[in-house]
Amino acid sequence: MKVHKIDDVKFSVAEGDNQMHPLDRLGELHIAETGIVIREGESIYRISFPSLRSVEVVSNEPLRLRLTSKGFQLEMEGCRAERLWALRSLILPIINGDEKPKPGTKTLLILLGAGVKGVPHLASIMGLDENEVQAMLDDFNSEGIITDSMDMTQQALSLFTPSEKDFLVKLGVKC
Amino acid sequence: MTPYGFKSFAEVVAGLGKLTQLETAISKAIEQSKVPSQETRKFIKSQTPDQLRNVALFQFMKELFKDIGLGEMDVSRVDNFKLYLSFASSQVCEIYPKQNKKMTCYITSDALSRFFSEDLGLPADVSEIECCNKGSPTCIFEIGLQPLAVYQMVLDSVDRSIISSMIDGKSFDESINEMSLDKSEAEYRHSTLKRYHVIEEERVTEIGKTYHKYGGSLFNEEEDNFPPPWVEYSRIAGEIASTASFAEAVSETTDDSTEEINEKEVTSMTEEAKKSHSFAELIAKKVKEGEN
Repeated sequence: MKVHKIDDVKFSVAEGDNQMHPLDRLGELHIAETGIVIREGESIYRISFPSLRSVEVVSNEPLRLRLTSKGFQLEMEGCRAERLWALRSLILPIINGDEKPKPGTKTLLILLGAGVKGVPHLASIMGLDENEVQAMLDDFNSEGIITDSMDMTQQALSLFTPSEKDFLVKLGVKC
Repeated sequence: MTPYGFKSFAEVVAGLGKLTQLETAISKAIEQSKVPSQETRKFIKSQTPDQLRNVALFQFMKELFKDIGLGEMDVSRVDNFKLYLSFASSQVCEIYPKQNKKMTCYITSDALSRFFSEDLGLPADVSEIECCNKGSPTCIFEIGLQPLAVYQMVLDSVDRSIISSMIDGKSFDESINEMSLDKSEAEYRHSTLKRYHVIEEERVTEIGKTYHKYGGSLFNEEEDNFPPPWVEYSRIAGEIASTASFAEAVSETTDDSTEEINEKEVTSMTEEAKKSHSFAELIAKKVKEGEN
């Protein structure tokens, strides 16, 4: 199998949705024809492209990527951020995009967090009609993203990046 | 299976190399392009595509993104909290084989999101909604701006005094009389506050009250006083070009970082994860080995 080295990386792996450990392992990140490969000393691990569900940016400074696959998550930081950004851009079209929330989701949640809960106001600010906003709120509620009193749940908070959470804290949302 | 219809491993590596060059240029451009808020204010106050095209910041973005290699930028629609930008002749689309009919330009979405957030101070949610690789004549990106950030940029201390006065129970006319504003300025402020849904039917709306409550505490309210980046655009363009050339040169010299590994020595993390216990054991074993 041919592989091409992308960068030296610090990484960590967690099973399922378990909490990630600090990035305490060192390895080399490579790309192969069918997936990405991590070499850690004598051990070589492969993650195939079709098995990947998402490639998220966990933080910008330094750039940390989280790759989620069936059954595990891998987080990594490299020496050259642009190489990891490039890998993300290469992979996303292959896996049909990132798992980011539907457009407007975060804006609506931030407005709710700020205390704007009237559907007519939310609709006028977001440029949507009231039925669309109500449908989004109903979906959020049934998916467990907001409570019956339209407060954000922990599940909602998991959609935000660390810098977005800082912003929510200023609005008085407990993160 | 070769990903996304790339014909060979060499094409995958070439695609990654081109994306790395673009990312290098994007990072350099964003690092050099901080825009003072008075210029951003003119940009987001534009109400039509024609108005926006005449704003200096828009013209700067057009040049910047073209020089990075992301294509010819134009605007197709402007709303209060949304912008629709199109890109034609983008190098990004050429990286990916055409046959898959998928959206491909995540790199452009990320670049726009980073530019709005880091250089304009406006958190933005960017999504590609049409793509040349999916058969559209141009790639179109929807940029959703965070309303509270837009308010912070668009409304000034006089607007805030009007809102405060109205929350205290005065009418709009009483509020502007207190501040001795002339008629044309009063009309302008009234239309701005109405346009952004801060006042409706002569009352401060829920979002207006929210903005008043948080005031300047959410974003940096200090007016920045530095020249806009287009004052020295030729230097920025030169740095972008030399950075991209350097990245290309590095990419060419790292061709020897391709090697062959024995497939039998490779562990599939996905297969191991399916056997949940053995995967846990595998990781535990590796950690233990590392400790020893």
